[in-house]
Amino acid sequence: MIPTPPEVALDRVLAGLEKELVESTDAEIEQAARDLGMNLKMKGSAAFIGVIYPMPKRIEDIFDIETMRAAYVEFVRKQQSFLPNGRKKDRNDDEK
Amino acid sequence: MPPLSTHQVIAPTNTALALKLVTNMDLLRLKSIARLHARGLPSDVSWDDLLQEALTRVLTGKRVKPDDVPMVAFLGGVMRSLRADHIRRSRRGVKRDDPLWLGDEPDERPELEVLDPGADPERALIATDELDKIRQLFADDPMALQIIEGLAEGLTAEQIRAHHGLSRIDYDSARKRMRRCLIREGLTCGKV
Repeated sequence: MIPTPPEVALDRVLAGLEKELVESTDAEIEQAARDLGMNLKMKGSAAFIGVIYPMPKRIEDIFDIETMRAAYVEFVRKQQSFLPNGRKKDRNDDEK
Repeated sequence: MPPLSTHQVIAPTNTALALKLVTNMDLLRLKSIARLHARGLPSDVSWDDLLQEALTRVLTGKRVKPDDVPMVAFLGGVMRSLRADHIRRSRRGVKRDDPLWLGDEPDERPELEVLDPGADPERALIATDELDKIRQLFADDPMALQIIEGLAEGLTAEQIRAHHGLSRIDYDSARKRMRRCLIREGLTCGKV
């Protein structure tokens, strides 16, 4: 028997679970929200974040992380180049 | 619905609500479905992208809902199709900020590209990982795990019940527990 490729299996599982969610009742959603301590009637309920209210900003939404990382590496490299003999300062240097 | 200022971008979800295409509860159903379909997608695509994109396609008339299909079921199908598009784009190495990403081309023309699903080891690893995470959600519910395995094998509800000797009542109770668990996962904000 040929095993089902995981991608195919995942697609089938997601499609099956999607059907379950489509058929979920309002009462089931309210109950699940209560389980999480969410009040769906409350203005600004966390359940609606990303749906009606915007998602909180992530750092990736504001900065280009890869550029920042490269800039930091460059900054550290320049700092080290100012040290005598271009070597890294270690904690024992002050004691010597 | 919260009041919108003139400087605020009106999200497709808000427009769909205002047009009464969906209810607040439908949006929570759709949020859970979007979070489900965002599993294993490239990191530049989030669940809210899937949801807003699906609604945009309906609002702009790019996708037309047949009269006999409920809106939530239809949007669920659109999100499934978008998921497949994003996976295809990721396989072609097209990033989200690439101009090609905006082409909107693939989802109506899947016949243009036939990819062997078993030929991408990275995607296979991601899918295995996501399947494991889904199993973990139901780790304390053996009946739910049997249903998951049955779905993965492509079995129908009747076949799953027959294979595991489950009564209709047991099967329906397990589905109910699964729905509750999935909705709970869907309502939270963090990445699962």
